[in-house]
Amino acid sequence: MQRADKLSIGGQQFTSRLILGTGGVTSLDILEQIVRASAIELATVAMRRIDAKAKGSPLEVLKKLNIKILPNTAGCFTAAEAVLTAKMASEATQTNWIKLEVIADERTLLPDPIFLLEATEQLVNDGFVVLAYTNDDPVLAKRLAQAGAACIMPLGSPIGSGIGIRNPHNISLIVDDLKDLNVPVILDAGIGTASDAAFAMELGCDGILCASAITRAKDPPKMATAIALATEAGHSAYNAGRIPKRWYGNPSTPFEGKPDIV
Amino acid sequence: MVYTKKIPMCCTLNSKPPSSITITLNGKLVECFEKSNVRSILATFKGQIPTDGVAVGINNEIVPKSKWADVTVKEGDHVEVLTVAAGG
Repeated sequence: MQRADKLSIGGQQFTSRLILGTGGVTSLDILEQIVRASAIELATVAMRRIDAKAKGSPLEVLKKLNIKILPNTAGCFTAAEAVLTAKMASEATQTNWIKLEVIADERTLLPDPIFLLEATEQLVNDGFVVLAYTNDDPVLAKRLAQAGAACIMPLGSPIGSGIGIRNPHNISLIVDDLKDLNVPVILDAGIGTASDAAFAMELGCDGILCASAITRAKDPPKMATAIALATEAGHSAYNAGRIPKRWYGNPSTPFEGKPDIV
Repeated sequence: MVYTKKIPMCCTLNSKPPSSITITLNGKLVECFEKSNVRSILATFKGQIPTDGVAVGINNEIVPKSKWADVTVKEGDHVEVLTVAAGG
């Protein structure tokens, strides 16, 4: 079995279509096991105040395993906060890639579309490769792409909810619109288990970003493998082309040539 | 209360010791010598100067690593020292 084509973001190619969110990992050892089990090549990390008591860092583990670092602006509520966090992340990690996250409130964790677009425009203008975490809104997705986002990351459902793809029709619309603009779509947030990842990929997404479903699973490395395989399987199925849905049955064996039994 | 461990370079034996100022360091009020540079502030973490994966901002302005030895703090400055953490 051959692997399908590669994922391309911001001019860089990745063999794995699964991006790891490191939120929720219980230890650096588990993080390493997850990375090895899933063969991911890109992982997102947050920026937080330095902890003098911390032993080791996710950065050390990811660098050791040759994983590309994708810093994020998790927990930012305004465009100004997100832009400053992105710049501090760039200074800390020496990358101009940023997963841009601007949330509206702590209860739903849904993206704030106004601040998100504003921050995207500013960061693109400052030379960042912006991977924009957004709502499953086709209009906003298109506006973000037109603003120069290198990748659009619509949610399937709220962060950490694990309730899968709530609006598959909108995800399909986003995929269709962004194909014309040649901007990849990564399904971000809401994945609960492997089938959700496969479903998102069958809708035509270019990849999956997954944190909680892996890091908070009973066996995180095992779930990491499952979601990586499902991501690949879903992508292959999308490329292979599913059969149309029918209201009634459609026999796979023709009735023609059937003998008369008397 | 956190104190910088070294007297800044600007202080010599012939001059009087620098006075203390209060800054906000990662959300906590701390006292340090006047004109302490960013490098000496960072020395209060882990007893050594972290460099990899660390970014410093003073009053919402980033201080690049190349300027840590030159940029000094003043009374009331808000200093944020961020690093990479699991998240997102």
